[in-house]
Parts: sequence; C-alpha cells; structure tokens
Amino acid sequence: MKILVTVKRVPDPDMKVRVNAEGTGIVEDNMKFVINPFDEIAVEEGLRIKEKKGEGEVVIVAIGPSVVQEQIRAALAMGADRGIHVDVDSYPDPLNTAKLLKAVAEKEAPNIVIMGKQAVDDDYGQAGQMLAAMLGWAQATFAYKVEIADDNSKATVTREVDGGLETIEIDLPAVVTADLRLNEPRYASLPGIMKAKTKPMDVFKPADLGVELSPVLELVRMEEPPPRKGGIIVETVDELLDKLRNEAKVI
Amino acid sequence: MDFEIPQEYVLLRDQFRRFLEKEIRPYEEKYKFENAVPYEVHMEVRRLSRKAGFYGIHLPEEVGGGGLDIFGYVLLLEELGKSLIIHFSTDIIGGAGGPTPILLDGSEEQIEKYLKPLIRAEKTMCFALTEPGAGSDATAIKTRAVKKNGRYVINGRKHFITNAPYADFALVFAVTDPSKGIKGITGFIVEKGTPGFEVGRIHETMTGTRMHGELIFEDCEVGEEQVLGKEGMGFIQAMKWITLGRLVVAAQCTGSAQGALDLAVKWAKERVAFGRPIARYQAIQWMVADSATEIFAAKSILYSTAWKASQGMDVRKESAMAKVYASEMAGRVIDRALQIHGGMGFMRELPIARLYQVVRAARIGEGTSEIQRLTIARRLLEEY
Repeated sequence: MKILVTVKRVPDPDMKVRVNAEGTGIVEDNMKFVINPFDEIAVEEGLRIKEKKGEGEVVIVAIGPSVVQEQIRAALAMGADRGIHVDVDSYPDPLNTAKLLKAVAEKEAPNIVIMGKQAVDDDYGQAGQMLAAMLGWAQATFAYKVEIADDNSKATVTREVDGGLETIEIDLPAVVTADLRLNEPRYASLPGIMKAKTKPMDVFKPADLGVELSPVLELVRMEEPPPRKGGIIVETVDELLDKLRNEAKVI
Repeated sequence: MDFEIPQEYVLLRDQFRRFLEKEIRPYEEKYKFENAVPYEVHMEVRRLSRKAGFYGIHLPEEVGGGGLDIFGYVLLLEELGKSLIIHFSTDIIGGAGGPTPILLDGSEEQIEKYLKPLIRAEKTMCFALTEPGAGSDATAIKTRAVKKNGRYVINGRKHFITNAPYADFALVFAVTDPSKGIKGITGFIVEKGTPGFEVGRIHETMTGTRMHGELIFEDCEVGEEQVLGKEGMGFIQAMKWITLGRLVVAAQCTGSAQGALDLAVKWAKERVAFGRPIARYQAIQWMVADSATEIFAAKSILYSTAWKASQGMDVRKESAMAKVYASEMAGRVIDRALQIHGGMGFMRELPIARLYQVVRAARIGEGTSEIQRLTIARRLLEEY
C-alpha cells in the first residue's frame, strides 16, 4: 500500500496574521509556520492506514520554496517514510498545484492520495478535486472515516455533508481529502524527530516533472478585514426589523 | 554566527506546546482555585506526560529517558514556564520527586530499582540535603551515618524537603567522616518504611501547598547497597548537577515572565480606562517595554549558556548569572503584569496572582540569589 500525502506550509493559525504595507501578502517576519492542520490530519490518516495494513509506505509531498522542507520533516517526524519537495519560488494557485501533484502521483503511482480538505491560509479547497479530475481517479472529499478494502482495490469513505454523513465506496487509486473530525494527529516523539533528519527527501523542479507552470490567478490586493464596530441595542422588534431590512439588507 | 534554533528543537517544542494545551491545561483549569492538588492527580499527569514521551526526556536513553540534550531541555522548560501551568510544573518533564540525573551515579541495581521506576512515573522520591542548620552552607549538615558491622546507622533531621510526604524513597545526605569535610558526605537511598525513618512535620508554603516536610532519622539502619555510588562522594554528586538545576530555574522563570507579559499586553490592549485602551498610556507602555527588554536579556543569557552546556563547556559562572538574573527579572515582570491587570490581577481567576507567589521561591531554591552572586564573584576574581 503506497500512500501519498500532501502537506502545505501555512502560518500558524494561533498567531495573528498581518497584511504587509504593499498589500501583496502577509508580514512573514517573526511568523511561525506549521503544517496546514487539515494536512496534518491527512498525514495521521496515512500513518494509521499503513499501521492497520501492517505494511506500506507513506510518502509526503510539499510544494514551495526550500523552507517547506521543514514541514516535510515534521511529517516524517510523525512517522512518514520519505519526502518529496517540489521546489518552486512561490506557492502556486490550486490549478498549478494540482498539475504538479498529478506529475508526482504519476511518478509514484500510489494506491491513494490523501490531502487536507483545504489550506487554512488561502482557503481555496480546490486542489484535491482538480487533482482527481486530472488523473481521472475517484475522489472522496471531506472525509470523516476511511476504510481500505483488504485487497486495496476499494475504499469506503464516510463524508461530512450538509446535515449529516454520507458513506460512499470508491475504486482505488483515488484522492481523499480530510475533514476536521477524521482523526486526532499524534505528537511527533523525540526519537521520531531525530529519525526524520536522516529520512530520504527528493527535490524536483517543475521541469524535472515535465510541468510548465502557467498561473491562472493573479493576486490583485490583500487587505485586512475592517475592525469590528461595536454593536447597538435596539429598543423594539420593529426597530430591529427596520435595521435588518434597510441597513443590513439581510431580510 | 547562527542564532537560529535548529528545526528539530522547534518541532519538539511545538509538539510539547500542543501536548500542554490539549492534555494538561484542563487539569490546571480544574484546580486553579485550589492551593494544592491531590497527589494521585500529580501522578496521573506524570503518567500522561510519560505516555506522550516528555516525562524524563532529559535522561539518557539507556535508562529509559528520552536522551534530550541540555539545550532542548531548557527550551521545553521555558515553554512550560510560558504556558503558566503552575500546579503541574514538576510533573511534566521531571523535577521534585521525579526522574533526576543524580541517580545516574548509582549502581546498575540502583538504577534498575530506583531510577527506572521514577522515569516510568511509577514511583516518587525526595532529595534530602537541607537541614535546620544547613541551607546555603550545605556542607554544615549534621545528619550522621555511622558504619557498624557493614551497615550504616543514620541519625539526624532534614527539613523543607520537597515531596517529603509522598516519596517512596529519599536520597539522604549524611556525614560519614567528619574529618574529611565535603569528602566526608555520603548519599544514601532510604526507602519509606525503613525502621527509624519517619516523615515529621509538614510545612505549608506561601502558595498553600503541603508537599514539603521534615524527615527524621533515629537509629535508621541501612545496608551498604543503599549508598549512592561510593562513600564520601555525596556532596560531589549533588554539586555535579547544580549547574543544570540553575538552568532549570532560569528557563522556567524566563518562560513564566514571557507568559505573564503576553497576558499583560493582551489585557492592556483590551482594557479601557478614561476612554481608551490602557496600552495607549505611557505608564503602561514603559512597563511592557522594560519587561520585554529584560525577558530578551534573560533569554539571551539562557540560550547561550544552555548551548555552551550542551557542548560540554564549564558554565558554572554563566548558569549562576542566568539563574540570578532570570529569577529576579521574573519577579519584576510578573509584578508589573499584575499591576497592569489592576484588581483583575489580584484575582485567582487569572494565573498571575498565583504566579506572583510561586516565582518568589525561585530566588531561594537551587541556591539563593546571594549564593549565585557569590559564585559569580568567585569565578570572576579567579579570572583576573
């Protein structure tokens, strides 16, 4: 069983993010970066599948500048077997991310690709679906529970959908994206962290993978949300209705 | 020159922080209005931390520890301080009553019988050096151990012994040969229940804990196999780890000060007085600016000293500097943090009030501020 798990480097969700003065991105000085929390869940799921099967390999892939190797190492410290770093100067948009991942998936031929359902920095939530479509593989997004058939031919995935859960069966290979409740990621142990330092990591440029990046999105401007204004207390229900209708225009 | 903390330490610290917030924070919250926590709960927390791989992480792998070096150890202790987890500060990595490197000087049997169960969070111990007449001048201890027919008879009294009421065994320092000075002091492992060994009075501390006490030895007889290492090595064994003990205090104080400042700055930006957040008043700004500067200084001393210690360099002077500076600095910073919080700072709802009391002990334990200065001056004068 070969399991390919994608991880993205994102700002620590517990830290305050500030937009830079030019409005072109966030201030990265003194910022801490971590594995995207949904991707961490994906790594954990990959490890659990391997442990349950008693055999297999968990391969981590990350796209970005050389610093993303920190997040690959963090996933290796949790117990993954090896890493692949796709070396690009900046983080590509979802379509180009999917293109690069397609090339990696074709090279590695995994039984399953597990990804976070979205990255918490840009919140696109598109790469998984695009990757499955490009590969022509089945997909199961927002996974709540994943079970792999004994012969690795199929997976039964319970998905989080509006108002409840939905269970589907998909043929493998497939792309699965992890939702919040899929599992609780483990702590990387000190021995795990030390071992991770010597685990193999391959570095590829897009050209090595035969991919030419062609951005389809342009970041026009980034700005911080306006500070929240204080609330008011309305006197009557009529006044509330009036404000909802004419000021907020929500009803 | 590279001041960057290596990635593996950052990763370990992140895991540690997550563990503290997820697993330990609920315990701290549950007992935040209590002076003391039942002993079983301390043990429960130790077992949790053991399971997560943090308890005893600073001890060698050969004895069941995690093999973490001093720099990593200091980083985790700083993080622990920063978390403002107070009740369980010695239950997460080790400390009073937990796994201690001094037992590494023991025989194979002693390591098996005493150190390993400590690391597995099955047993607890106490370190008994201080006596009513011997604190900073530890060499003045009066507890005697006299050898008779191949066994030792111990007589004397220890006090302020952390964990005394709960320890399964005590590491007791006694004079075996008064003519030899510090080379006449020996460490003995004395098990609870040994005839002639009793726990005396329990001391209630400023913070209201009742885990310190007296140990009384009256014709308490132990065999040669209870000597830690060799006769006459007790004081030397105890002193060997003193540098590390000082770094432990320095790290926890530096972290606590940072935790207190974090709370104070957040509070100052939210709390409105006279129409604007108090963070916009210079009186408050000066307090936070001084605090941040002093924390930065303490951290710089701490990291460079811990790094040197990890390289095996002699840091007796530096560790005394780190300890005296960080413990006194934390007192000032936590005092300011309390002041910034005003009435709220005095309430136990926030950890600052308790922290204010707890941090006072840091200027006394592991060598008083005065002893640290003495050590620094002594080394300094030798250098010129």
